[in-house]
Amino acid sequence: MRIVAKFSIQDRVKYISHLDTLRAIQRAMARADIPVEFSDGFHPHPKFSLAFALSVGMTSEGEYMDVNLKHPMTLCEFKEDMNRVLPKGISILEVKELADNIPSLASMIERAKYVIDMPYVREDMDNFLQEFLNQGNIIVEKRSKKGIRQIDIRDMIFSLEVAEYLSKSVKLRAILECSGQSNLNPKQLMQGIAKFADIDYDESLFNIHRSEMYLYRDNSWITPLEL
Amino acid sequence: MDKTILDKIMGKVSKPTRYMGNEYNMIEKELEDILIRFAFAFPDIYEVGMSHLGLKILYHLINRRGDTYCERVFAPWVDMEEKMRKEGVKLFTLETKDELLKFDIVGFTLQYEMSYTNVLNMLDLADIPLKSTDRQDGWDYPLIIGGGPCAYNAEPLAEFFDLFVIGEGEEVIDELLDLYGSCKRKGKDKFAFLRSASQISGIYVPMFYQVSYRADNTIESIRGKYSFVPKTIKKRIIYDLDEIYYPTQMIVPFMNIVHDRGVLELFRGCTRGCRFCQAGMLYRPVRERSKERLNDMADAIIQSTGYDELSLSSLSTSDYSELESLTHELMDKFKKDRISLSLPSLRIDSFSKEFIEYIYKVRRTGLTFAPEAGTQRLRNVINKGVTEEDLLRSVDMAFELGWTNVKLYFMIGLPTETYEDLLGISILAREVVDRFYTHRPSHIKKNPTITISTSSFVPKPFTPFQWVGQNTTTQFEEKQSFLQDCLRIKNVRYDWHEPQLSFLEAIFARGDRRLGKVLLRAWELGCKFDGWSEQFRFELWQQAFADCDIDTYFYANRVRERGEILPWDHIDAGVSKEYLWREYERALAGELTRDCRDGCTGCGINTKFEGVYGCE
Repeated sequence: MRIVAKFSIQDRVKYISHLDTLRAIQRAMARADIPVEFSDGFHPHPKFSLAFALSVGMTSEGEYMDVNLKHPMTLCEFKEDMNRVLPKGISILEVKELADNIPSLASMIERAKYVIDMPYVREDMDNFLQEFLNQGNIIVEKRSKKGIRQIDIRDMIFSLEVAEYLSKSVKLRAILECSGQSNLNPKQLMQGIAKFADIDYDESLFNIHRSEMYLYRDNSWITPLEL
Repeated sequence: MDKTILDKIMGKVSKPTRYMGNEYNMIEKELEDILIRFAFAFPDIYEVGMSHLGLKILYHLINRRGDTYCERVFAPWVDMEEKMRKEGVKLFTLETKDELLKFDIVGFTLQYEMSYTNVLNMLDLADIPLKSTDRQDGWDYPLIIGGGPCAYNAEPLAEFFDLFVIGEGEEVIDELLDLYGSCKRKGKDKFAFLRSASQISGIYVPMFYQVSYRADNTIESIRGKYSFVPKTIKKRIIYDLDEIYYPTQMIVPFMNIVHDRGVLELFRGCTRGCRFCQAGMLYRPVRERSKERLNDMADAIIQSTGYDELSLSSLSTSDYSELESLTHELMDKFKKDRISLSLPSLRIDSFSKEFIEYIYKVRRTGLTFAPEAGTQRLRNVINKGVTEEDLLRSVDMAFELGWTNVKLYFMIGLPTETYEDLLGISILAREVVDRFYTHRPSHIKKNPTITISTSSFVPKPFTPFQWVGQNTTTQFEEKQSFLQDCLRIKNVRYDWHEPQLSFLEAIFARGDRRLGKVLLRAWELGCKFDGWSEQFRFELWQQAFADCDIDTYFYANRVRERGEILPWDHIDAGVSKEYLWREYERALAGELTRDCRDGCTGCGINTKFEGVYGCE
């Protein structure tokens, strides 16, 4: 039996790394006696994966895990058993059974939706964002092991808008490229916006929250739970 | 604590999970119900502190109390410290993120001497005055207490701490907290509290003692300042390990820590009587847990943590009387869930090949053996009851079972050591390489890696070698370069450590109260994380000793006289000074003393603590 489970990473545990998340969920599955299937071979490993890594410091209510079970259990049981033993701050939100022939979530995810608190308000925020997007290219710095590179992120932004005006900040909603081949970290987007607005960029002041992931199937964008 | 500021700095430091808390099994409590707020402080980083069994035990033990909330605090790594100081963030606990000033008690565990500067640094980061005399007015500051092996001679820290707990903390901590709670409710002052605390067996209040010195710098006397203080402070022990609390709902860290697994403590103490080993003397007598209790504990730990590895822990795991059957039972039970066992400090020669194969089939990392010294003569001096035959038999077996990676661990600078003994290390190394080629199974074609690792011997209090003068760093360096030369052997690697750290360890392990000012000075000069080679700055320590006019030779390298009053003479660890001296003389004569499981060797522990299991 194959299960896809949507889960959240809340503020109190937002500094855990991708590996930490994997470990925490695997240990929770052990505590909950979830019958995870193991691969064959000399070094058997659990058939379990996460759809897409979340950057350290971000919260999310749009994470997904993909688990194969040795023998079936009800979806409700899986959710309740896991939520009883997950560390506080990680919760399973929704669970669905997935056909075995569907490729791995990790290979299918292409976009993600983010909600970003930006401590920067101006009255013409909508226009400002439109002008930002109207730039032919948006160059930001990307740090990698090889050093700092300049990259153009314009084509990786699919939408960017104001979700809500608050007193000292504004909530932005963005849909960005998010796949194994090409991924735009929202921190880079914020770096680009800060540069365009000519304000100092301090990434720790931007709360970034991932709210959903999408894949493209049968001519439409759907979430893993709609598979 | 202001969460925005904390978020701001956490977003910029390496491994912010170190400061995050919220791990599975972390204890949360409503502060309104709490009378005593206790911060358990480990003076090293999270990954090291969270690997420590004592923290796991005491954290959960203290939190069983309804009136007390025990939280954790670790030394922030240098990048975090820099950010905290810049933003004015005071040292905080992981549970509530409250600063230490809000706590009633801060309890440091003192596991190694080279963490002392971190203790001072943590107090400073918490805005707590370092010296206990600056904290005497009422209860403005938390009570600063310490425990762990270094508390047996914590004299260099005496002026910074209000009290030390000597021995095993499980029972005494409850007595201490009961007393603190009642003093707090009744509004008693700090002096009255300390006075009552000093009456609890195992509690040492350093400010109640006066130390005077002779012209030659040795100690003239250690005397209680008041008639009510005990002349000696006797360590506390747990009589029955089956009866005492052991945590099974251990905290499961998110990040990878040094020992990332469940820990099953089989027994305490060791009967072997190695003369250099402080743990072997301090943790006497041997007390085992029953196999039934261990089975129950193992089930509960695995169930409540989800770990896939369980470590069977003790000073000398092989000595557990039912190890083979316990291991088989655990393996059979855990096999289906792919839970592996690890048995550190296992002497593989004492078991069958089948058993060893059974245990190690999951993981095949290197194997470490500890002959400690290169010749039988010197092994007899240190009473390491291992013969060359034992060692080679183990090595043969390891090679036959397919190991190619073997590490041999030695100490240099042991009492009576000569260059013959060092040469013995290289002879042994050659022999081990030869054994590989005669014992490896035919399918193994690769060459072995034999690692010879040496550390510099540090004489410790409460051991038969407490009177010994340590080699000078120059002597150590000469010995290391000699070994480098004679260990140029194919397939052999030589690992050694800079002797400067061992030199400082020797000074502080057997130091007295006059070293407090050196610690303070070294910390002022910027020393911290001394145990981390990339942070260790020996030249600053040299300057600190010079600034304080302290002669390091006196502490590290001088041979002490039999009649000399040692700085820790008012602490009673259970083994008698006469026994230690007798063992010292036998060492110098090269005489072995038997394992006391085979008959009492008169260390004195059984007369101090009557009716202790396992020691008639």
